[in-house]
Order: sequence, then C-alpha cells, then structure tokens
Amino acid sequence: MNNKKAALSRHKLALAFAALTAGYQALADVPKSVESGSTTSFASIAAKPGAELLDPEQAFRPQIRLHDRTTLEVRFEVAPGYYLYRDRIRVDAEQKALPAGKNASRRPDAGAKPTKNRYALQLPPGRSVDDPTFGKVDIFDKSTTFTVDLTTTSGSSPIATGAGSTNKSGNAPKAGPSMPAVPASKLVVSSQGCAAAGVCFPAQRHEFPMPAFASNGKGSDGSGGGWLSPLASSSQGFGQTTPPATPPATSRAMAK
Amino acid sequence: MSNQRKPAIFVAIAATVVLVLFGAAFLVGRLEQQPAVTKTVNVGSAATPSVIYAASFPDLAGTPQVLGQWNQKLLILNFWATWCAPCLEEIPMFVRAQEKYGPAGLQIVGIAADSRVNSANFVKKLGINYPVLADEARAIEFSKRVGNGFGLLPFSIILSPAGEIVTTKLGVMTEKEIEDLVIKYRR
Repeated sequence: MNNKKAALSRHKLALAFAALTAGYQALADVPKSVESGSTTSFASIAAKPGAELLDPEQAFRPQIRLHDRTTLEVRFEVAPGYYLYRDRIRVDAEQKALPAGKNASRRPDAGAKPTKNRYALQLPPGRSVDDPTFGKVDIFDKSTTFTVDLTTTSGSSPIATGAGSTNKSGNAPKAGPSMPAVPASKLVVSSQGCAAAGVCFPAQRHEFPMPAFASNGKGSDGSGGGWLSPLASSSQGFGQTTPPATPPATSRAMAK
Repeated sequence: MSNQRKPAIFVAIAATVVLVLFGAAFLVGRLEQQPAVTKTVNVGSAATPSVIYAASFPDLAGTPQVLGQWNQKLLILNFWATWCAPCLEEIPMFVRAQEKYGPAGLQIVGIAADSRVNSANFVKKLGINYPVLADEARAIEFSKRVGNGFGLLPFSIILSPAGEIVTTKLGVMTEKEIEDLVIKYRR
C-alpha cells in the first residue's frame, strides 16, 4: 500500500515538473527558430546578452564566387544577433572612369566618376518583420546565399565582366552598341544592417576583384571558382576604408 | 513520523526546490533579453560644445539651422534615419517627452542621416513635434566627430542649458533617462 502511494506521489511530482517546465518555456518567451518567410517582430531576434558590438565587417561577412560564366553567387554570413535589410543589398560592377578630353593627361582624375552598373539579384525571401512603427520589412538574420545574373544590368555603360556582359533585361543598359564594353575593375557589394541590441550600422560597401573565368573554365584565381573575400570594406560615403581581415572586434565599451 | 507521511513531505520539498529553480531560471532568462547596448563612453575629441553649437544642418525646407539657436535649452540632439528601426522605435517616446518637458526647458532636435523627403514623410507619420534637420551626407559624419565613433544609429548627445555636454547615448533612450535629465537641468 505504501509503495503504491509513493509511486503515485512520484508520478504527481513528475507531472508537476513537466508542467513547470512548459510554463517556463512559455513565460520566458525563449526565441525559437523561425522559417524563412514568416512574419515576426524585431524583438524576437535574440540579442547577444552583454556582448560587445561587432564591427560591421564581422557582423556581416560577404563572399562571392562565380557559379558559372553568367551567374555570380554572393554569400553573407550574418552573426547571431544581427540582421541585414533585404532591400538594401546591392551588387554593382564599377569601372574607373577613363580620362577624356585634351586636359586628361594633366589631370586624369579631374571630375572623373566611376561608371556603375547594377546587377539584378535573385534574393531569397528572408524573414518578414512587421513592426508597428517601422512597418513591414524583410530581413536576413541568418547566413544567406543568393545569385546574381551577370548578364542583367542597369547602368550608364556596358561593362565586360569576363562572363561576357550582354544585357537581356528590359530596363537596361542605356548604352547602345556604339559604346564599347570596358572591363569592370571591381565588383561592389553594398549592404545595410543592424544589431538586435538596438543600433544600426551605416551602409557598408564591400569591394571585390571582378571575378572572371579563365580559358579552362576555372575561376581566374586558379582555385576552381572558390569563395572570395572582399579586398576592402568601408562605411559608404565616409571614405573610411578598412582592410577586411581587421580583427578583433573593436573595443566598443558600451556600458550601462 | 509515520511512514505514510514521508512521501508527502518528499513531494513538498521537491516541489519547493523545483519552484525555486524555475523562478531563478525565469529571471535569468528575462535578464538576458535586456538590450546589450545602451551607451557609448568614448566622446570624440571634437565633441566640444562650441563645435556642436557652431554646426548647422538644413531643415526639411532646406534652410540651414544653426544648432546654437538652442543653446539655452536642455538639448538632446538625436541622430536617426528612416531606415533605422530602433531609431523609429524611440521617436514616439521623444514626442511624448517634448510635449511633457518642453515647458521645463527640454528641446529635442532630430538630425536625420537621410533625405529631406524621407525625413518629412516620417515626421508626418510619427507626428514629430520637435525640429528635424536632414543631411544624408553629413549627419553620420558629424555624429562621428562628436562621439559616435562608429557612426551607429540611433545616437544622442545631450547638452545642458549651461552649454556643457552632459552625456551621449548610443541606442534607444528611455523616458526615465530623459526625466532624470529634466529633473537635474530644468530651468
């Protein structure tokens, strides 16, 4: 009889423990993984408690590689507790302006602005956030990879990428066949993101060498088209270029 | 004590232990969700009141406004942008604070790292009741000069009515922080 009572009590104890555990999970609102495309709020992106803020180059690490002759792959590694705005990702081919006019030899950079061609992106849906103040926006709060169609650009002049730039979109490029294609000198990936802790970074600009296929079909770096890291990253518009491999996280002592 | 009562006591003790553990775990879980970033401590070398008061930014009509015109106020210069979700989160609190503490000498001024058009849309949408200036090219650069070393947003720098830099804040300000400032510096 006593054994039966003891067993019953243990059973009740187990049930009570299970109920308490479930209650804790519900009350603590433990962040759960959310599938891409679902709607959530910024508050559900778990901030790293007590962590120092990362440099943007470390919070958002872009890499590129050629998938084939006309398709580029871009991968963003997003650190936990950070997110990128989906609609603020850009990929441009940039060509340093060629000097023109009879004074060009004296002042080769005078008034010269780089020519820019913007590529069409095939971005995954990301995660939809519907914030009462900010409105609805798609973000990437996890690492993501997307493709870039190197044959579709909109810009001021055609740029040869090594992939053979031939526009096939309806909205680009404006230059006609009389304008010769010039080799693009670099590829620029731009992005903008925030830390879930409650601050946003200014737009970041990541410069890559323009990838090209060698005649053997491999990447021009001889690695068979491996992932390339940016040559330089900077805050846009502030002329502050930093090398990409600048570790470690800047000591941003942010105390309460 | 009879053997029949032992299981009941055991259950009571075990339940108490579990409740204590549950409470502790819950509290830790809540604490961990507090924002990690609240303020910066490195005020830039150029962050002098004279530099700040001498600066000017265009208002939403494009007219330059010198910051020194608010030098008799408890001044909160709030750097923000329409693409910055945390910035937009704190603006309704600024609106309430301006209404509540304006008569006590508080003056909030928003400096948007954004276009005038975008800024004007959000001024209307959020019912902003304090001056908003906008300079997409210069706002973040200026905030870096006055202490926001990495150009992050939102960022606020607070000056007393006596013209001293009281503090800076990286991240969203709270109503309590503003209330404390007003109590200390009200005129």
